[in-house]
Amino acid sequence: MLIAFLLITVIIFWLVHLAPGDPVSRLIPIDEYNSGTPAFLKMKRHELGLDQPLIVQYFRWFGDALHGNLGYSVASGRPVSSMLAERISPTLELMGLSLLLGVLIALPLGMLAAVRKNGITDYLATVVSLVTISTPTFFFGIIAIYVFSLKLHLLPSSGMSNPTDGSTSDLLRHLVMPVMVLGLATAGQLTRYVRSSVLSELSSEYVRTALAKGIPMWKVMLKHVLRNALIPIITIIAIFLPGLLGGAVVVEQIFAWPGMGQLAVTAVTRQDNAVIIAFALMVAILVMLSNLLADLLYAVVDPRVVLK
Amino acid sequence: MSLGTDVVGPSGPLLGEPAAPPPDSVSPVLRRRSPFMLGLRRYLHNWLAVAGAIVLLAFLVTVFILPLFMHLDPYAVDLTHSRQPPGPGHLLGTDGTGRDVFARLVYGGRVSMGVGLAAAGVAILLGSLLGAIAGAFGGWLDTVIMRAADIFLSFPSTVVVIVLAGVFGPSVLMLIVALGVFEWPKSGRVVRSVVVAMREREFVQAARAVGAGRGWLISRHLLPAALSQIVVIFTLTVANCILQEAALSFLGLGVQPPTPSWGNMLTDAQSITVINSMPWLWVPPGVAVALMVLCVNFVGDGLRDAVDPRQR
Repeated sequence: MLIAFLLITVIIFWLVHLAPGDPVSRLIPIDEYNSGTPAFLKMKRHELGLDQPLIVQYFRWFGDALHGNLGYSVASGRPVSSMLAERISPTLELMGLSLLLGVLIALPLGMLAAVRKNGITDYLATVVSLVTISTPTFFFGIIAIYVFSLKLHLLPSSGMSNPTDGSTSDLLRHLVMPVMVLGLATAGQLTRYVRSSVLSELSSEYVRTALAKGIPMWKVMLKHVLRNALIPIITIIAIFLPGLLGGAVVVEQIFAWPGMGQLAVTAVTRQDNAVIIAFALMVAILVMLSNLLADLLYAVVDPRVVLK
Repeated sequence: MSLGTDVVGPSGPLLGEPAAPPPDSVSPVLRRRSPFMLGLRRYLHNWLAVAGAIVLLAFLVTVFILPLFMHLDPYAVDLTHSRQPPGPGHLLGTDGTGRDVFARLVYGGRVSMGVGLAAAGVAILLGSLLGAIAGAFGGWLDTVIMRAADIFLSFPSTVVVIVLAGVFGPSVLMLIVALGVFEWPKSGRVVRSVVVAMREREFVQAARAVGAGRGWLISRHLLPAALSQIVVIFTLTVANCILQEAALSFLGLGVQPPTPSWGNMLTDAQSITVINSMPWLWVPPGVAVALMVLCVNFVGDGLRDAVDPRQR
């Protein structure tokens, strides 16, 4: 996975290289760039090593990135690292709570659907999860704004907090809709995995034994089936994380949530390459971490797996 | 329903099945049914899948055939009649520049379905080819291809397209290629597993014995054996690609206006006034994507259950 990550940083660097625009403009504050004389820019180009071979430039860029130096935003003139830093925690908050909501819905629903296989509950669960998978997040978000903000006047339609009201309850009110939209989308996908995972456990012999001993179904489900069914589900959740970021980008856009996704979309519309590249790097890191997490969790939840 | 023929017709796995004596409980009538008829029967028993196919057909007729008989211009700007509510003349009202929403919905459907089909096509082509090669050759080639599949699969294609759109500027071609390239691993894995299961079967061994090369085996025996599974994955990939295209176009990073697409028709609905008082601008394209994708998913699920009832 580390090799894959390095490979991806090479690809990202190569994309940077292909991108139109003067690379110097990404690497120094935009005011300096705009007011710089050609001689100054030439000196800067030399100083930044942009006249060196591509491979040298790559290692230089990679080293800078490791030190947290990601260049400067063309649009705002600020260093990208500090722009990114303030955006990470709102996104993680949104993703974490949505995932939690998704799991809290999907686990009972998927288990119920599996126990009542081919029954009316199963049917309903399948249809509902397919409907949430098929409805685009942004459409779902717009419906939520229409119902809860515009018709019922219950919840704020955008932003993370009211500038005049810094209380926790205000933050929570702003959180409800984004988390609901992203969480339900996650629940739709997870329910199907939970259902099939529980189903495959239900046909095991230990379940039949436990039931034959006279243990009630709900106890068998919670004490035996769930524990085993969780093993594949937990790894699936870890692998889900990058996809959840894709959903978060859309949700942040609808609800004007000040996270990384919104930053990235704004950067794309302004051709702000330094920010886009930093975002790509963050995605690559998230992908790598969630893969690592999947492997680690696998060993934690399944004692049969031994980490080397 | 035309899909049904492709799916179960040349169902290879059953061709290679050794002629086991039929169990006594099976009636002689049932025994004579072809795999295709059995699959069709299973599909028709699933009323959700049938309903999905019917609505899907209605969508296809509306989007591809209706414009041949009805004058619809998605680009005709009429600033004196902007944001008109639905009424005679404009079935679904007009948008901010007075363009007919219904016309844009129909032509946007062409774009959305076109992108979805093309991207899924790229994904299935790549997946089948790479999956078959990995399965048929095995060894290091298998390891490399499946490792690559894992890496591609762990990157969310939405995010990748955002980055690519940022660096190279958004375009439909890039959208199709990027979605296709990042959706291939699912079909690749399925095809590989079928190929690995088929590789040592008698009919493949027989073909090999009479001198068939690997290319021949893949194209004549192994891929046809995986065909029913490929069609199922293709259907589900189409649904996914339509959804992704809509999300990216909504963000302004996919299909660019004035070309209509279901996603970018909703971009204007980000303002509170439009959401509140002009539902004809955002409800139709939203419902269209949701219903369309739902139907494709129903059809895909129905096909999967029909092809392989054990998965249900």
